[in-house]
Amino acid sequence: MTALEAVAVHLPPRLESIEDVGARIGLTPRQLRLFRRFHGLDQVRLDPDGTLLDLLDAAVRALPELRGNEHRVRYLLHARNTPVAVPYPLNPLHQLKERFGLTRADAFTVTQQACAASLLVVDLAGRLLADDGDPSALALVVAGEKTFTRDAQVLPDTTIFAEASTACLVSPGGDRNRVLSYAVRQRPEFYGRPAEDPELMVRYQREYQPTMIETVQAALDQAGLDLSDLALLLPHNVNQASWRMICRQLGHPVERVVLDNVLTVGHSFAADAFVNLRTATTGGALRPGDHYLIAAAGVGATFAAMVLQH
Amino acid sequence: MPTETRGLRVTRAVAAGFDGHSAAALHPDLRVFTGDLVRPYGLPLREDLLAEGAGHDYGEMAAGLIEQALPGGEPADLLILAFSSPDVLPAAPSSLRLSRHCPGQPTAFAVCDQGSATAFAALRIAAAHHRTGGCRRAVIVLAEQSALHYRPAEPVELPAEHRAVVLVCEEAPGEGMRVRQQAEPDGAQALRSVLDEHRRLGPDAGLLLAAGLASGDTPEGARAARPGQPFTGVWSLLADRLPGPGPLLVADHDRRLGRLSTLTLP
Repeated sequence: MTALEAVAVHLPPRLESIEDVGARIGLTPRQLRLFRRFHGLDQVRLDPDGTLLDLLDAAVRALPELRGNEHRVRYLLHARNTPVAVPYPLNPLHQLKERFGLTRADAFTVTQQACAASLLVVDLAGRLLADDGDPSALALVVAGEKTFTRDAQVLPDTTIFAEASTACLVSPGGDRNRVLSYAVRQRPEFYGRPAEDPELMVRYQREYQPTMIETVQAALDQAGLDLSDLALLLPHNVNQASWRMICRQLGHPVERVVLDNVLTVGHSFAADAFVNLRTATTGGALRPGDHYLIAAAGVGATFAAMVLQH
Repeated sequence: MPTETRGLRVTRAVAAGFDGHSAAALHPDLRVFTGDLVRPYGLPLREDLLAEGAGHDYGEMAAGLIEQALPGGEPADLLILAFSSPDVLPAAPSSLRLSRHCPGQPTAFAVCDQGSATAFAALRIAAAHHRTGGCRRAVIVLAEQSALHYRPAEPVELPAEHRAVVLVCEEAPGEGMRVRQQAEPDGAQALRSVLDEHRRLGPDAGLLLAAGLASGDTPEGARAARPGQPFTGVWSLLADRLPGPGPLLVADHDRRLGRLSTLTLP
């Protein structure tokens, strides 16, 4: 059974208030009030001088469990929201592979499932490793992106993006953070640019909560669990308001949702899943044996949920 | 009673080239995104290509091919878009858009950043999904378009024309396809390794080579892709060949990444 062996997080040291970001990218006072008062955003982590390679490199360096296990890494996978992230043919992922001596790894990026890409990549890594049949093999999953263009800086009325990055070792078996289920729901009728299409955005926002709830329920059903069995829900850090509403509809206590990073890190694309897992494990919110669920969604639209056991 | 083996393999392939350009190539969003993308790297924009609206959209190119590849409306469980050089919709989830054109509205995503080996990665993922119970039919979309709207930081071969190939992978009695990828920086050694593998498949085995692998004389019994389509070339040959008898070996070598990839169809 697929397991997350180790997770590392890199938080760029620069912490910008959403008002500073807003001044830089041209958000209106009304938009900023909405983000702060309604959505509960406060600050975002950014690395204005760093490249994508710098971000991913810092996350992998923060993963001591990789040392001495480089030869076991069969896959190096970037879970990415934005399909094109650097000018072609530059390839930070392959630079990362060389830099860390991952000579046996197939390295490629998995994208076009928005910020739900990290859950897809964990599922894919598990399938590839299981199919290879080598119980000692590992996949190194990295996530994190640069906020280099407007669509990667803000999703109107929804979120402001940040630049935290993560590295996660996935194994085909193991006791730590075992993956019990994975559910994905795609709604391609929401393909388009919500930032430029208010009608599309309204339809997407209307369907967002019911589809997210349906996906969470599907993952729980697959795992044979009820919502009450979950010690914790790890959301993506898109905003606080949507998760508070989802919790109300689900009947899940919001105290058992990791929302702190919405305030202090920001929505770091597909890296949120691992940022929040790290917060939950280092803060003692998860005990051995606890069940938890990671949920994510993004424009396009893809909704995903994964149930794991710590 | 012994259990019948049923493997996943490429059973059908449709390929086409495309003239002209898509509307997205003239949309102001392309200029904004591309300008923001290259600014930190100090690369100049190709104003000429932006002004003329050069380039094509992978979703638009592949939508009709999917309908051709699945004329009976056979439902797919998985759709993977694989690309190397960028689309004129570089930020869009084109695979999701394509899933609307695909019977079964499959789960869709894209893979990239492995050069020409990315096509093989997509097939490897489909095979792993099949063997772990995740799909019975997968559609792999391979696409490349010829316009790069900035000067690249390093020399790189760009496609001569806009081209897409749709591969349909289906479950069938017997062994499934086998995808292998390995590090091999040397092109001559890569070809020797492919020819050894081809010999092991027996005298009736076919061999399709990417143009980069067949830079010298094409070995007897092999077909080589024409130069100019670094990502889709060898897969266009496969589209000519299928349906047809196996076994068949498809091989490509990405020199920039030093990656040799093979696909064996039983």
